[in-house]
Amino acid sequence: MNTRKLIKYLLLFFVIGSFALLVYKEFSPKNESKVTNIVETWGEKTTVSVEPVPAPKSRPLKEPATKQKEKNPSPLTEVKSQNSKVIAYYFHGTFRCSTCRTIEQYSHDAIQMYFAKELGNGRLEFRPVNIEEPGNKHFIQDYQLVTRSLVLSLMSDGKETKWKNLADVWKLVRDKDKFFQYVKDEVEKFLKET
Amino acid sequence: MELFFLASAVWLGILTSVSPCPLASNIAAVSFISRRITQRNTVFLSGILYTLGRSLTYIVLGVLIVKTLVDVPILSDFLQRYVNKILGIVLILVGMVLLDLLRIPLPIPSVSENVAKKLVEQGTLGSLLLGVVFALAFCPVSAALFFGGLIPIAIKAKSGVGLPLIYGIGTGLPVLLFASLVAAGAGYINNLYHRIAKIEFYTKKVTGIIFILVGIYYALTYIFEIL
Repeated sequence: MNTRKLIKYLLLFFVIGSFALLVYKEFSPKNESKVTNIVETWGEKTTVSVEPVPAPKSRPLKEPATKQKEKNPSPLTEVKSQNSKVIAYYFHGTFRCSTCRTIEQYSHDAIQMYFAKELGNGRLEFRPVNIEEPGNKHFIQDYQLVTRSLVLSLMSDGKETKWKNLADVWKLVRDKDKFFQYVKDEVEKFLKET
Repeated sequence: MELFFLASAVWLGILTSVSPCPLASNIAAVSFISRRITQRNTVFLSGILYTLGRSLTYIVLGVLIVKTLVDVPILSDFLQRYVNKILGIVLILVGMVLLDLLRIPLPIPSVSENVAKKLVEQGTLGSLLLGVVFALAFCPVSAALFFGGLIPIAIKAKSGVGLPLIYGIGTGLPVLLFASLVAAGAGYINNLYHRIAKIEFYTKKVTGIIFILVGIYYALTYIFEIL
């Protein structure tokens, strides 16, 4: 019966360890998450300007800015050559499911395929964001996120004037062509207003 | 229009249960439901109760959302964030009970003891609970289908109970089907070999092992975040 006991204690050890880690992760001071979802930004080269922008509008962060933000100074503060731009956010969590990865990949590819020029000149930006990282929680409320989502946001003069959650990505994820078309159409509508 | 709503609810439910992310919990559910393998009626009843358990969760959520002012994004985020984490730990413990590695001291008054024992032993009450808990474990796909797909329809149809009920049945159908198939198949093999007592001994062990493995998978994925 020794193996039984051994298995029992190993499992109990694992359970207690998991529980301890769970509690630790919840209650530890929000140390910088190791999760690596470095915000990819494109099209900064052409529009980046060195001088500081007066009062850049940044979303109210309850917590100190995350590593991401430090690494990639928010383009809101950088866009100078024009007043308005479109940001395509892809919101995800720490746990990445396979369908969610497909949605992210398709969104990214569709935007790259049809809007290379806009990405290049900074009128459009694709930004994946992990909502479970400290400082990003407000997005859940801001955009009424119930799951992984692609959201278009129209920014003009540093202010968000319009946004849309492209909820149909979940319906169209099994049809790549329709998905691409959907993203293309929606982004075009937003770009018209920039 | 009514019919369209109902059909959508069932379809969303089926889509939820066949999507890859609840696969692990569905496997656990099938093995749990079909573990009384020689009693086809019990398996069927367990499957029904599991499905009703799922519906129950969706009805409670549906009523909360449709009738009160619960903030849907916050609710969805909360469920996705925490339930899966707790679920791993719970599944391992239940698996250990199934393998007789742990004993739960049940402080049940003696009068109802027999009834409770019967229910637990039949595994039917357990199936209901399993349905309730598994339905709470939302992942991105199921959250998109439930909060993003079903709830808007339910609000439009002002149906906090009916549509979530139908949706829950949809999410339980594939599990019910598979459990019945397993029971039918195993029953057939069993009839060939006449080893009724033996086979249930093993199915209970197998269920326990599956629960532990699925529990470890959940813990590694959602707590340790390494899968």
